[in-house]
Amino acid sequence: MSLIKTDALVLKVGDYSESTRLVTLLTPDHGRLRALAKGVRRIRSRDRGALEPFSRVHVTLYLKDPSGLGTLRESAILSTPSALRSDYHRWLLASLVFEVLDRATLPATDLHTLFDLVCAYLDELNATPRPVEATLAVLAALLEWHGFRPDFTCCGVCGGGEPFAGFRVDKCSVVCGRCAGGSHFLSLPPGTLKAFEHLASAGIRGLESLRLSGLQLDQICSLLVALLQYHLEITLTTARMLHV
Amino acid sequence: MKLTPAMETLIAELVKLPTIGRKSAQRLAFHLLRAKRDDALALARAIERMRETVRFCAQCGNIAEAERCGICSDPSRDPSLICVVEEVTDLVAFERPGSFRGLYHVLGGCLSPLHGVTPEKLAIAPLMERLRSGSVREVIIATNPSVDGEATALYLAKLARPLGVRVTRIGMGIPIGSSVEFADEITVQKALEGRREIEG
Repeated sequence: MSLIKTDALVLKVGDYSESTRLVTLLTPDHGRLRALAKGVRRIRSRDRGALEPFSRVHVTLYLKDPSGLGTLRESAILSTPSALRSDYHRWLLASLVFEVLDRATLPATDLHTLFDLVCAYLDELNATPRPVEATLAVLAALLEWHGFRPDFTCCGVCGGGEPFAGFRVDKCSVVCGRCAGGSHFLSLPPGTLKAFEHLASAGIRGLESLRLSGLQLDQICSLLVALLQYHLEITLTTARMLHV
Repeated sequence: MKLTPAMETLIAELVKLPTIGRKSAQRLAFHLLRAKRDDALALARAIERMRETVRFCAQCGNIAEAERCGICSDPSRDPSLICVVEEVTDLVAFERPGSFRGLYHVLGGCLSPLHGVTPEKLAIAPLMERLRSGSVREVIIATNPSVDGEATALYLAKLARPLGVRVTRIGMGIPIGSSVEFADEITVQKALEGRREIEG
């Protein structure tokens, strides 16, 4: 049994028994971890407030094997995005990102880059007047982190150049008018494709110059959700609740 | 060691109860074996009767033995005031002090897409139906002070406000009998936000 002291992001919290909660954590060194937090449901527990989704915490936990269930000994809040408690839309956006992380990250993996990316996103989400753009940028970064970089250079089917008629989800690429169609094809105007390219390359801190309409945000969101669901083989419940 | 088939069946059923492990189940089974026959059968009959008669109130979702629960059918209650809670157990907690004289609405949980709980899975549509009836003046949202509970409160407020209903949220802060010293950061912040002037 090893004792681990690490920073972590609380991905998910569920009730396990009368006084115990089951906490899912994203850690930079140990990947996604699940641990039992005993006694935290009691009103006098000091850890109750720390173990809330979206909080960045410092935890001490015992772990028998790297992919098993740990036991949480101590937790302290490092930061918590307060805007998520007062803005439903931001909570929903953060839920979408955390659902992807919960479904698609593994235990015992090095997640330093991903951890830093999500911490930066939560800081941004807490303050930015454009939470949707920041969320779409981080979803694009998550897709790329998993090895699926959207290709905007040439048609993903025939290799031809512009003009492009839309995006093929299965090819993770733009496609020309001749190759358009099929169940994985999404018809998108050139302006939306350019905006998606900018969003995917800018990162969450490079969105100042980007101006997108509500329709474009909606189209890019649908495309990103389709890409994440197809390539990571997950179903995103939050996407059904989201209308950007 | 294997016990008799009847004992094993009882233990297997008791193990399904929350917080009951194999050892506790075995202890309970032997207790029932040693207890007076009538006491043991009374327990079996009580479980059977509860399962046959208890259902959920058609109006608020509380437990009831008729179409409406005791609270909804009580004429001394104020129907213009509705307190929205996540679970029946929360309703029980609100009833304990006996000071609230309004009605309730049990949602059946709180929004949590990561656990697959979307608005359609909660009793939100029946709540809106009650608010649309025009007899409700105020709705008190008493979901838990968790991130998901807060989001549920915000979601409900967004739906209820256009109906001309006053939407309020229960107060949050330091629990009675505890110490400020041991409160976490969010609780202290909430307590400061919810401060009020001392009267008298």
